[in-house]
Amino acid sequence: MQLSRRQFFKVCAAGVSGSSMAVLGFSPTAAMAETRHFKLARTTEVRNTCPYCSVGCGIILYSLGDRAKNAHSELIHIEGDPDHPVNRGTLCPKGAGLLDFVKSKNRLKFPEVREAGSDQWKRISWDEAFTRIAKLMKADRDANFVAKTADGLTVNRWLTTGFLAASASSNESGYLTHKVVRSLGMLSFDNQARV
Amino acid sequence: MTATTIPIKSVLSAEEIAAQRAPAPDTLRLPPADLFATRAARLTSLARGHAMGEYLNFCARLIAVQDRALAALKPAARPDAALAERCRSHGMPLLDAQGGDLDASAFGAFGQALALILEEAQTFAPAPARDIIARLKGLGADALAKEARLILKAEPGFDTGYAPFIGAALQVDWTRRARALEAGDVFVREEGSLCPVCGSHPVSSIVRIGEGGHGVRYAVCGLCASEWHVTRIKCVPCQSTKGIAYSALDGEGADRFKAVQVETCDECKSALKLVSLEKDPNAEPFADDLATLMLDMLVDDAGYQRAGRNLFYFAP
Repeated sequence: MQLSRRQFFKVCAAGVSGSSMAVLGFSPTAAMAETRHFKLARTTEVRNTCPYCSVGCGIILYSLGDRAKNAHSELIHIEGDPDHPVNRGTLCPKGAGLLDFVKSKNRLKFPEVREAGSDQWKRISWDEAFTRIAKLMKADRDANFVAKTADGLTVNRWLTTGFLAASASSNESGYLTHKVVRSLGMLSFDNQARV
Repeated sequence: MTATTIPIKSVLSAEEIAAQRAPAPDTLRLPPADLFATRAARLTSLARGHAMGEYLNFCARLIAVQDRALAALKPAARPDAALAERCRSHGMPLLDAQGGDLDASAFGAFGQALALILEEAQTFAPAPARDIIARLKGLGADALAKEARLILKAEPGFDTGYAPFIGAALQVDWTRRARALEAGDVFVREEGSLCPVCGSHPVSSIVRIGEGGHGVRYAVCGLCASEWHVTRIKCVPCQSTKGIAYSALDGEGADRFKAVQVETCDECKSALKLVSLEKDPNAEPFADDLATLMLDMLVDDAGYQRAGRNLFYFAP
């Protein structure tokens, strides 16, 4: 039923001669000729969440291209999502400048490290970064973990390392962050989302 | 010099925060009184220099007659309170889009509107259209009601030449009935793909500007012209948010149609137009749809099926 009804709304080049327009006496020739000198420009719109703060405004990202293979894609505009209950289409000046943030030359795209005593940032792989972070965390935790206080009270805490998590996190990533960080005994723990 | 004290309040109460909040956009916009006048003016301007200009001009003049017909008709009565309540509680449209209560006699609103439309249209219609008007005038109430119901139900078998005239009269009658309603009478389903007022198909959708929600999208009923809120970047027929892309006309002369895009969905392969007032504040969802049928043809070639229904153009 649905298929036949859709067929019924069809507006295509082949159907013009039997259309209401032609039947009423209007020539379809010019309309057909015009169709031939146009082509389709494809664009995409995608929803996302602003990465800046804890308000979590909804944004719409506009791109050229339809993400098809071999098609040139380019982000051209970002604005507030009018359907988002938090910001209803509005953005603050930081959010309104997001396109420059995305396209910034200074944007960090891979892990970098500045060794103690060095004044140079050095690019490293994600594997190296994770291994290095894990090793440093373990060394610090082994050295400074407090299982019991001086008067014998069990506290199991690790006060010498803090953790700052990302904004625009989902409930699920918030839950996982909490589980990982608290299980290690870490007490200093905050989200970028509150900055 | 005395320092000016600026009262600073560090913490806003919950009520103050709520009061500063932008109001939620309207979920339903019932048709305005100048619907047909605005539509006719827009289509007249689109017809200038258009390849389909003669047909668009004819439609614009038909719409101007619709405007006079709506003004001449007695306003519809408020709906029966018990019926309205029953429709609301069951989530059903209040006006019947299948034509069950269609009065096709010369005395009903539909009959009166059609008579005026045919009378005036024969003064500016080309010869083949005048023949069709003459045949239409000869149809009895029963035959007329049958044609009208097929058009309303979107079922094949009706005459494509009759459709614009009968469709125009149906639009006048249903718009008149929708204008008798208040927003509170209607149950607006979230993300509905059919008109919550009359259950009919949308002609296109419109992105509105200014008060009541800037950038908010509404689907526009092809029959009663009521507008209901639909989320952007979400397929109106199937509600998918995956595989949504937009197509617009590209090439010399495409700039005057910049307000019109087609939202295509790769999940259900359907296509519904999106007319943006942000891109052209004078755009009108019905007129701009009719003036961009070449866009539909290109999108059809690309493998998407049109989901909007325009009563002035059928090509079964």
